[in-house]
Amino acid sequence: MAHNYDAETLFPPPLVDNDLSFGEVTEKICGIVEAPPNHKWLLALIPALTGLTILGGAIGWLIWEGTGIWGLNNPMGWGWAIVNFVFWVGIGHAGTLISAILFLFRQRWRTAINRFAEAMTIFAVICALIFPGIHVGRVWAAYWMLPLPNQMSMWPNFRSPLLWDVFAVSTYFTVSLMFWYVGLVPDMATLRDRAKSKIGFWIYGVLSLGWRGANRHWQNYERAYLLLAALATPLVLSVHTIVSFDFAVSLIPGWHTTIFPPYFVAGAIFSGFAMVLTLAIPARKIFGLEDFITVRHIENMTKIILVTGMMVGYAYAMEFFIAWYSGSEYESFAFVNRALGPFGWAYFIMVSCNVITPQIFWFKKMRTNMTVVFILSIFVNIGMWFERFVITMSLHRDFIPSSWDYYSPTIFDILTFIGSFGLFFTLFILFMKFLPAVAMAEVKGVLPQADPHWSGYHEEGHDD
Amino acid sequence: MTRPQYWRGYAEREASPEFQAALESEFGEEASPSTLGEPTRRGFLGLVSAALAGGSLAGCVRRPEQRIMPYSKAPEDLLPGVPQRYATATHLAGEVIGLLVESHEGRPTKLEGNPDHPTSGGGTNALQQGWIFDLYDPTRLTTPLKGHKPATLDEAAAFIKAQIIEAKGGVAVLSEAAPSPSLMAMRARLEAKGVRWITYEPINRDAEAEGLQAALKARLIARPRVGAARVILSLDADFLGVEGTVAQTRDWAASRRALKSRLYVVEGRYSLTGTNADHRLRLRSDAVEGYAWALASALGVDDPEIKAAAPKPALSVAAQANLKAVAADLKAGGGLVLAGRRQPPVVHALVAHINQALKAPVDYFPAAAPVNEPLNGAAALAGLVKAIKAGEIEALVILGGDPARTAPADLKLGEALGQLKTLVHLADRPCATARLAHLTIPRSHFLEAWSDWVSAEGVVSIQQPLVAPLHASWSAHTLLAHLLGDEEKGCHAIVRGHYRALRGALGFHRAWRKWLHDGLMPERAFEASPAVASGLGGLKASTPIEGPLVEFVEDPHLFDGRFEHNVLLQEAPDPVTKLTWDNAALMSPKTAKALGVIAEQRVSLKVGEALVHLPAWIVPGMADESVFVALGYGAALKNAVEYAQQSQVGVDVYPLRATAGASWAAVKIEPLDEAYPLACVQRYARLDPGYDYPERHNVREATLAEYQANPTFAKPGIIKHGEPIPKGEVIHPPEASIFGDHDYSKGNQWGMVIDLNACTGCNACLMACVAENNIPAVGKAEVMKGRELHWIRMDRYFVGDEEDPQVVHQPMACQQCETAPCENVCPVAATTHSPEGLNDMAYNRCIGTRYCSNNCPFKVRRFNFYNYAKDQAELAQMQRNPNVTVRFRGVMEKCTYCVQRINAGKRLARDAADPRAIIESITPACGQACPAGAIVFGDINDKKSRVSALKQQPLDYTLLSSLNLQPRTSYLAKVRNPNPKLEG
Repeated sequence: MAHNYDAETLFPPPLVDNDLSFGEVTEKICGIVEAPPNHKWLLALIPALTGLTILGGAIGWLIWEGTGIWGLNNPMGWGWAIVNFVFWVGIGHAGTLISAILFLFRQRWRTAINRFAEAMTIFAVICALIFPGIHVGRVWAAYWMLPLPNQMSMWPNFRSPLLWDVFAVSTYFTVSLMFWYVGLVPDMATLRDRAKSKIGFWIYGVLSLGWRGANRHWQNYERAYLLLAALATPLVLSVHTIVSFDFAVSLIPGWHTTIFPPYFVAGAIFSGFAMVLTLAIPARKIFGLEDFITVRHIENMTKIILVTGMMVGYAYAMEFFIAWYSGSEYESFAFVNRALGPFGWAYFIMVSCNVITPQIFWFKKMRTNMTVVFILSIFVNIGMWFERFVITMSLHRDFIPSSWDYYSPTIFDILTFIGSFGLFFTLFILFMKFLPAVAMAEVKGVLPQADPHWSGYHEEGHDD
Repeated sequence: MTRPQYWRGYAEREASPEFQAALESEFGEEASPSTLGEPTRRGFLGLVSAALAGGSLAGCVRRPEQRIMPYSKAPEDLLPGVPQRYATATHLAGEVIGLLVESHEGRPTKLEGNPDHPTSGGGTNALQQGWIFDLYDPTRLTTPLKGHKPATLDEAAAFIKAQIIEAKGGVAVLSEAAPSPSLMAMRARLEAKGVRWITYEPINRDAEAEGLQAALKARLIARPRVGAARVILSLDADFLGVEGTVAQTRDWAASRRALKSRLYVVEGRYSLTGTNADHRLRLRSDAVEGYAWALASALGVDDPEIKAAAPKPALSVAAQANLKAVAADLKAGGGLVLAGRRQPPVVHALVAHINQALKAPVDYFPAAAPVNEPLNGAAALAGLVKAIKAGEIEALVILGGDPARTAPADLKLGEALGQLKTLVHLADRPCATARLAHLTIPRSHFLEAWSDWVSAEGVVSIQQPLVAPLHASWSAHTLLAHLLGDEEKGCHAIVRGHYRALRGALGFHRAWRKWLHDGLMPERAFEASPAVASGLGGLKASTPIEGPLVEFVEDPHLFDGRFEHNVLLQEAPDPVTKLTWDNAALMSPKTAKALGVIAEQRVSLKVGEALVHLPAWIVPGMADESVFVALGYGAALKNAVEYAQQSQVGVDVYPLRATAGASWAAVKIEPLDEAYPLACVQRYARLDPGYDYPERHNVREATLAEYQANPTFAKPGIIKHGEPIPKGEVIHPPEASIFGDHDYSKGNQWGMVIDLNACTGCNACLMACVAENNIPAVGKAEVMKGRELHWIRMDRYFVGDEEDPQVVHQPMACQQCETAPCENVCPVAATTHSPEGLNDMAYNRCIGTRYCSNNCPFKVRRFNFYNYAKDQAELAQMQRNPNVTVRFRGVMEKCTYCVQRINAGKRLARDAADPRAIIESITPACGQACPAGAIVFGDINDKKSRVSALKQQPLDYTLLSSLNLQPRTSYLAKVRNPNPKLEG
């Protein structure tokens, strides 16, 4: 039987451009860490640190003064803090997806981006974890949500989705951190070996856990990495499922829907990839990583965005259908009100950014145009933030009309949100400078040179 | 059919972007308690105290020494932790109410109606519930002021002696209404000495007294027995509001519950009574008189003087149709007509004739005031001003009130007061009059002093204090004793002496003790007197005013302004407008459109030369071409509430009010290009949610005919497959709880029934709840954000026609769902279910995730966004109920069915011979205060309890039943009783 394979399938283009050698890979990646901080890096750090300071100030004032500094009111018990929480958790999904699921599916192109996608995941989850902690009225008692043994035998309420959240997100954070760190070990050893300063030697030495690149090390490492990937994979699905339970388990029209778990997961992947693109496109320019994060990587990610964007769009449509089909006047009113009511403008932003604009990724020209992709990724970030906003705002008109109200954020809501970006970028910028931004060991594994049959080893070559 | 959503929409829909921006920016500046840019007092104090704390940490931290000491000589009958109750009485502008006061270790904390007192029967109104806060009001005067400098009471006494008694000039006393026999005796002695006595109340029944004098030829007060009438017509009489009495609400509600009465209201403003009407005819207040004339003729009132004076009828077609039906209905028997106190004397005279013709249940009682007193207080005041200007009066003693502000503006009383040689003011707090006074003496609160009051019906009660004066203060009795130069100056001795002299010393002590215990004397001071109406005493028909009117109405919570410092009454929403903290120029949608005004836009009102600026507020159902303004606002409230963030609430409209236009006046209205944000607690006022969705079924009502045809109309419908969807609330078949439920078949199971048929929407329950449960005021800025803390939300919905809507009121507190959705979402199990079916809150466990509030389908949970309770003044904190936890910031709170009262009752029942009776007597604060008896509480496991019986009624329904919430609170559907001839 004759198969018609195209050239790309038979001879896939290299995953790393410019035919780099092992040494060149090491030089390029470690060079970023070893070079003294340059102006570009410092210039990026200053606004990030400013944001971090704003976050600290906003949280400090919040704890001093009370939740009242936010725009919350009586029907609207949740506002931006919860929106931001879900937004950041969602962003945190791409990292694990890239590192774990794509790893299990042997998608070798992931190696170039998995390191910083994972870093992004961890930093996003850190940002996310702030919000459930500070949004409670009595921050100093927030630890009561943890099942700590105490003399009153007072346990948390295991029926509450918020408690499930605590477990889901903290598990996710722990596993992601371990996964990330395990992947870092061989590269840390490389940095240790190249370290010129005593401090660097010691720090990277401790972090690399005595890695010597022995065959046994590699075997254990590969096994551990595989296990962690298997462990992390269900988490990609579970975390946002649990987060969606915060809404789905309640009885508020617009929240109480069974579609939420898959819808949230699809949305999370969607927003996560958008954030990877938002970070990767400038980073590959600033740090000269174009050879590793190639246009092909970017294009692959835009395809995922296109797919998940349409899944999200499907969910939006299905929500309306089910609301109508349920015959519940409360339910269908909630959705009509969502689109046409006081928060209709937010719904419009959400649909435009999440469903309509990503459609341009049907065109290869658009997928490969870095400027377009970058702008689109920002759009998706905005749209996904608004998706969570729209959902949370379902509270504003529920069952009894006399309690209906509107929600407007205060300056502190806005500053806290901006501040969370400050934290995120501070961590990210520090990471780019002090840790290898690309997984060197893994990238080397996908270089043509890593293939024992690579033609470069046999100058005469075979007559294939 | 599309329905415009005009309640929520006026400002939003019609406003230009610029206006909206102005509104928002103003809102932002005034409303947000703390912005980064401007340091707040709170923020500053916070930093200072942080610095202080840091500083003192370096040394050693010493807590202030506090000692808890036992009584060295324990008061009789006082058990620490067990509240005591004493009977007392007070009055508001002459309207007496018998009270029972709860006292905790010597601290009066709560007022209840005296069940044995005919004026109360156990109920109170919102104002009386809020009165307790006056005692602990931080803005009270705490010391006499001589020449605006603090002085002692001895210095005050010396001043009175030197400046009034020993001076030669004429002396006058200007008093508020004071129906006190002992005080009147002192007055007679003063008058014998040549002292002039003038009584003035800014909100009064003078027109009624004049009208009845003209028709009945005697100085009388009318007391319509609203419970005994089958058909009631109110001509601008808000007898269910503050204009009426608690007893009237009680009697009316009783006849209403029995589905026996019909209420017609003819009025201009949308009053509380109007919201309860079966038929309401919207007439401008100055046109109500024309209706009265036409009604007199339609009813065939046979009086030559009336026939001669009757003007040419000028009623609209609708009004004529209404009149015809009303007249026929009144004639059919059991008719009663009430005239409002804002109406001119001639309306009262006409109504006296009409009621005579109808043989209506009205009692006439002789007025308590001495016969020599002028009928009209404003005229008496004008005489005083003249006398002062003529130099006849050189010294004036003012007993309470703020006449310099509340007197008719054209009298320029303030100017006259400035000409006095000596002005002594017995004042509650600094005010316009006190600023002019040479000597200001703090007046004792009624819980601090002895007095006696005779009610309009002749019931005499002793005002018994519960606490020694908190500040250096005098009562009116003490001040008059000084003025008379009496030896005996204590109010207790004066009041007691008065009755001892009257009754004789034999057995007096025993009788006195009994009066104090019962709160009233067995004998009445006077009985109803027969009265025959004849003629009009020369009263003429008045001519309606051309052009727009401004109408002055009393505020349901601040009355004439005497409660404007009372932050909790300020924060109680107006029953009709749902506005808090401000008065506004209330107008109908049509008037607003004609003026080109939108809600919260300022307008200028000009009466003669006087000018005030008020924000507009659009209320459907108000008469067109008229704006309604509440008196009693505009006081400076410096730091009254931490988060109020404003020095003044409302606008003083007394400058517009002249002698001739005390009820209404022609006005020039001009819209201004400014916005003024108002704090309205209910932003959406319709039952239909919009987008052509059906009305929500939380309020269910039917007409009497519909009810008789289908008694179970209020029962909710559930979808049965294959059957058409019944009218009613429908989602899907009931869901089952996935968690194990308590066994509710055992023990006491608490439940409540709220009768929407009896509820008038008066707010008494809301204020009672505030006083009982230590609910602080949050301030205007916080209310604007939607953070009011009231556990009972008084929902008010407009139904029907957009210009002439009807109203339903629905008190809504926690419904105590058996399968409470708030409980399973709390991550720390701070809210859980009790085996007795209560949805409990452990405040100390709450961490404030607000998830419970989100998941509450009724949205009746309240959150402490700031430390509202702690920010109350220390004096105000004395009012707190020690049996209710004071909630810290970051904690969710809500109605508990007054669990403290339940537990107190259960403790009593444990040792009682008849525990059932004790259990049955347990009542939450709302139910106890409700003058209409609309809130019934009890054990639903006891099949003989009142609450169980009510829950068996066909009208009983629960809210959102299809969510399977199993609420313990159920409602009795409203049954209106419209006249079939006026239908359609």
